[in-house]
Amino acid sequence: MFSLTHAPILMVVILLTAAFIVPLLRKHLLVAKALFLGAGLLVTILSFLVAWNVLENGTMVYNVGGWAAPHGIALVVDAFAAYVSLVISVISLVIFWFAVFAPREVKHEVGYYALILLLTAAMHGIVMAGDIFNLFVFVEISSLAAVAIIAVKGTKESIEASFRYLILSALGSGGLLFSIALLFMVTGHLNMDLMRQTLEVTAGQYPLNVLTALAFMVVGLGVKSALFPLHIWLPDAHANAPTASSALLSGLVVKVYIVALMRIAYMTLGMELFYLLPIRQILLVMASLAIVAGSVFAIVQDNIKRLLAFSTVAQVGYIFLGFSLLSARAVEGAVWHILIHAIMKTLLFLAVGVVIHQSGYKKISQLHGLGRRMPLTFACITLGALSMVGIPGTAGFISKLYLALGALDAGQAIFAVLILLSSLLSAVYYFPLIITAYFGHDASPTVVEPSLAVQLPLVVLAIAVLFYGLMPSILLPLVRQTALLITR
Amino acid sequence: MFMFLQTPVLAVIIPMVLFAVIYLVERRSWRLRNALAVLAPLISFLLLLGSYPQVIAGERVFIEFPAILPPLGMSFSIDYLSLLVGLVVSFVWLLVTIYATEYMVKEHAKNRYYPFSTLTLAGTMGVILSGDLFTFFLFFELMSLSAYVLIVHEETPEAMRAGYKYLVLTIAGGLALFFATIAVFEIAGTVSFAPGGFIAEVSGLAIMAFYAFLIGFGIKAGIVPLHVWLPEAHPVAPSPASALLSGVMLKTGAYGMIRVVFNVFGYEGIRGAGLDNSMLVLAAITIFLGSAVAISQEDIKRRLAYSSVGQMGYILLGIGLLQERALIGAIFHIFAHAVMKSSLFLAAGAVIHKTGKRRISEWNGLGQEMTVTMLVFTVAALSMVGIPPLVGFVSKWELALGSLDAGNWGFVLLLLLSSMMNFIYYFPLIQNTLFGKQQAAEGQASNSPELPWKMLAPMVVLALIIVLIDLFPQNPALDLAKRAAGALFLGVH
Repeated sequence: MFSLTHAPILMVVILLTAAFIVPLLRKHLLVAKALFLGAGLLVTILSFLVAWNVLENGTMVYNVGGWAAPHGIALVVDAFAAYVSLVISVISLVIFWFAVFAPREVKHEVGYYALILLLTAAMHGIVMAGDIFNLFVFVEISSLAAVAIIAVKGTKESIEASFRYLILSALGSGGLLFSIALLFMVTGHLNMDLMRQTLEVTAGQYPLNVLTALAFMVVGLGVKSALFPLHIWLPDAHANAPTASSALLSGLVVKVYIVALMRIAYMTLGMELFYLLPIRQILLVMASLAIVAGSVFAIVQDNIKRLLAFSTVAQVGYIFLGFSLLSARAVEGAVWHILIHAIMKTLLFLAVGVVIHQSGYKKISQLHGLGRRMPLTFACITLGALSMVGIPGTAGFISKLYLALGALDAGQAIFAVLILLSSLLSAVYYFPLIITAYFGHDASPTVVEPSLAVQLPLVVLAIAVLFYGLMPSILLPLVRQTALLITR
Repeated sequence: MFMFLQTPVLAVIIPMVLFAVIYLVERRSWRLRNALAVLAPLISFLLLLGSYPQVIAGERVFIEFPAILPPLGMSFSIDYLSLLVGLVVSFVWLLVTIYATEYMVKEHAKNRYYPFSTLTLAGTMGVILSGDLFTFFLFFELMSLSAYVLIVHEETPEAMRAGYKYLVLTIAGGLALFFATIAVFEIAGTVSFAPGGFIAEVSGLAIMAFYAFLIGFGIKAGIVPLHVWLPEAHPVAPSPASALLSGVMLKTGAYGMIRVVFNVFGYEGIRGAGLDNSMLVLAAITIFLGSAVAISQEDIKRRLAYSSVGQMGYILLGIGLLQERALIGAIFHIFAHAVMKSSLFLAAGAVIHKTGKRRISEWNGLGQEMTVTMLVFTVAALSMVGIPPLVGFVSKWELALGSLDAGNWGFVLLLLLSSMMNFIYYFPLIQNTLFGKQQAAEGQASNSPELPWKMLAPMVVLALIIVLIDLFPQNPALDLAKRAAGALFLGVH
C-alpha cells in the first residue's frame, strides 16, 4: 500500500494542472474531455482514500514543501475536511460527466471545463487549507471562477447576474481579508492552529479587534454563501447560469463558504469565544429568516430555475441553523445537509436543465403532461422534490430529522417548529411541479427523453437520494466525527 | 436476517413488493395485474389470521430493527388492537379490490390505480402493525401520499383542487406528527409503544406533543375543524377508493389516537393533565356538525362523507371518555364503521356505475331496478342509525354505557340526537328508493343481471357481516375489542 501522505495536495494539484492543460487542447476536444473526466475521477478516488485514512488514523497534516508551520503552508485534513472534500469530489464528478455529455450551452467548451476544474480545485483548497491566508487565496480563486462560469453562457441576463455577483462577492472578499488582517494583528499568526493557541491568551486583551474580525468574517462569507439578507445576488446568478454551473454553484459552492466560516469562526476562534459573542444569536435569527423568506419567495416563482435558486436560500438557512443551534444532533444535521442538499439540488438543477433543453419550457405552468413524455427524468425530479420536502424514505428526511431533533436537544422547540413549517412551504412549491407534470392534459407530444449518457448522472443522484434516505448509517461515522470536531 | 420473515413485517413488505411487481407486469397482462392486486390484501389478511391464536393466547409479537434510520429505529408488533384493526383493514381492502376489478373497467388510467391502491395498503398495514411512533409516522406518510394518487384519479379540475387541499393538509398533519414524535423522543428517549404509556411527567413539551398528535390525527380522521379536506376528497375519488378512504384510512387517525393516549402517555397521565377534555369537546362538535351537515347534502357521496365525519366523532368520544366500556365502543366502532361505510360507498358506487345518478333526488324507485344493491344500502344505513341487532347498535350501546360510567348524561343525549339525525338523512332516502316511483326511463329496463358478481358479492358479504355478526353466540370482533380495551386499561399487552 502506497503512502497517502501526499494525497491531499495531489487533489488540488491534479485539478489545477488539468485546468491549465485543458484550454490548450482546443483542437483535440476528445482528449480534453477525457482529461477533464479523468482528473475528476482521480480526485474522487483520492478523496475516498483520504476519507478512509482519516477515519482510520485521525487527522492528516501536510506541510507543503516540507516547511513546517509557522513558516510553511499547511494542509489540515481532519474529518470535516475529508467529509466535505469527499462530497465535493463525488458531486463534481457527476457534474463533470453531465457537462461533457449534455448538449452544449456555452461557446468555448474547453474554457468552460478549465473554469470548472479551477473552481473545484479551489473548493478542495478551501476545505483543506490549514492557514487562513491560503484559505483566502482559494476563496478568491473560487469566487472568480464562480463568476466566470455564470458569465460564460453569454446571454444578457447571465452577464448582468454575474456582474452583480462579482461586485457583491468582491465586497465579501474585502470583508474577509480585513478580518484576516485584524486576526493577524492580534495573534501574529496565519496558521489556524497557532492562531487558536495564541487567541486563548490574547483574545481577552483585544476583545474589540476579535469582535470586529468576527463581524466582518460573518458578513464577508455570509455574502458568498447567500445567507439571508445577503442573498440578493443568488437567484439571478443561479437561475441564469448554464445547467452544469447552476448545479455546481447551488449544490457545492455556497456550502464551501459555510465550511470556511465554520473552520475559522468555530474551530479557530474557539467555542468559548463564540459563546461570549452574540454572533450565534444573530446567525440563528438570520438562518430562520432565510428559511422562511427563501420559501416564501420560492412559492411565488413560476420559472423553475428561479424556484430552485430561492429554495437554495432556504436550504442554506437550514445549514446555518444547524451550526448555530450547536447541539450535537443539530450540527450532525447541518453536516448531513451539506451532503444531502448537494445531492438533491444538483439532481434537480441537472434534471430541470435537461427538461428545459428538451422541451424549451422554463415555467412550471408549461409542464403539463411532460411526465409521460420524459418518464425517467421526471421520476428523478419527483424523487429530488420529495427529498427537498423531506418525505420519509428520501435523504432530505434524514437531515430534517437530525436538525429537528437537534433543535429540541438545544431546548429550542420553536426552531423545530420552524423547520417543519418550512417543509410544509417546500411542499407547497415543489408539489405543483410534480402534479403539473404527471396529471392534466398532454400538451407536448413531441418532447422526448435525452440520451442515456445525459440521464446517467440524474439516475445516479436519484439512487443516492433513496440510498441515504433508507440507510444513512453508512456515512454516520464520518458525520459524527465531523460534528464532534465542531462541538468539542 | 430471518427477522424479516415474521408476520407483521411480511404483512407490510409483501404488498410493497407487489406494488413493484404490479407496476412491472401491468403492461403485459391486465388479468395478472388484477389478480395480484387482489392477492396483496388477501395475503396480509391470511398472515394476520395466522397469528390470531398466538395473540389470543396473550402473546405480543414484537420485532425490532434498531439499525434502520438511527437514532429512532423501526419496529413492528401485533397485539389485540392491531390484530383487530389489521384484520378489518385487510378484509375490507380485499372486498373493495375485488369490487374495483369490475368497477374500474369503465375508468381510465387503471394502470395507475392498482399499484397505488396496493402501495396505500402497504402503508396502512405498516401504520397498524408498527411497534413504535416513528415507524407509525413513516408508514403514515407513505399511506397519506400514495392515497393522493387515488383521490385525484379522475383528474377533473375539481378532483385536482380537492387533491391539492388534501395534499397540503395531509403534509401539515404529517409534520405535526413528526414534531410530536421527536418531541416524545426528546422527553422519554424512546418512542416504542409501551403498555400503560411511558411519559412519566406531562411537561410543557409533552402537552405540545399531545396537541400536535391531536392535530395530526385529527386531520387524518376528519375531526372538525380539521375535516375540511374530507367532504371534498372522498366524493371525487372513484367509489372503491372512496370506500377505502372513508371506511379504512380514516380509522388510522383514530387508531393512532388510541396508541398515543394509552401506549404513549398513559390514560392516567392524560386525565391528570386534563387533556381528555379537549378530545371530548372536539368529539362533541364533530358528532353534531358532521351529522347535521350531512342532512343538507344532495350528492350521495358527499352525504356519506359528512356522515363519516360524524362517525369519527363517535370514535374520538369513546377514546376521550377514558372509560373501558367507552373504549370498547370506540374500538368496535372502528370495525363497525369500516364495514358499514364501505358497504354504503360500494352500493352508492354501484348505482353511479350503472346509472350515473349521483344526486339523491334521482334515486327514486331505484330499488326495483337494483334490488340487491339497495337492500345492502338499506341494511348498512339502518345499522348506521343504530337499529339492533345490527353492528352499529353494538358500538352505540357500548359508547352510551361508557358515557354513563363516566357519569356524563350529556353524551348519551348527544348520541341519541346524532342517531336521530342519521335517521333523518338515511330514512327518506331508503323510503324513496325502495318504495318511490321511478321518474321515467321505464323503457330502459333490461333483462341483464343487476350487476356483475364481482361487484355484488363484496357488498353482500359486508351486508351479511352487518346483520349476522352480533347474532353469533360470541361476536368475534366484539371479543377482540373487549380484550384490546382490557389490555390497554390494565397496562398489559
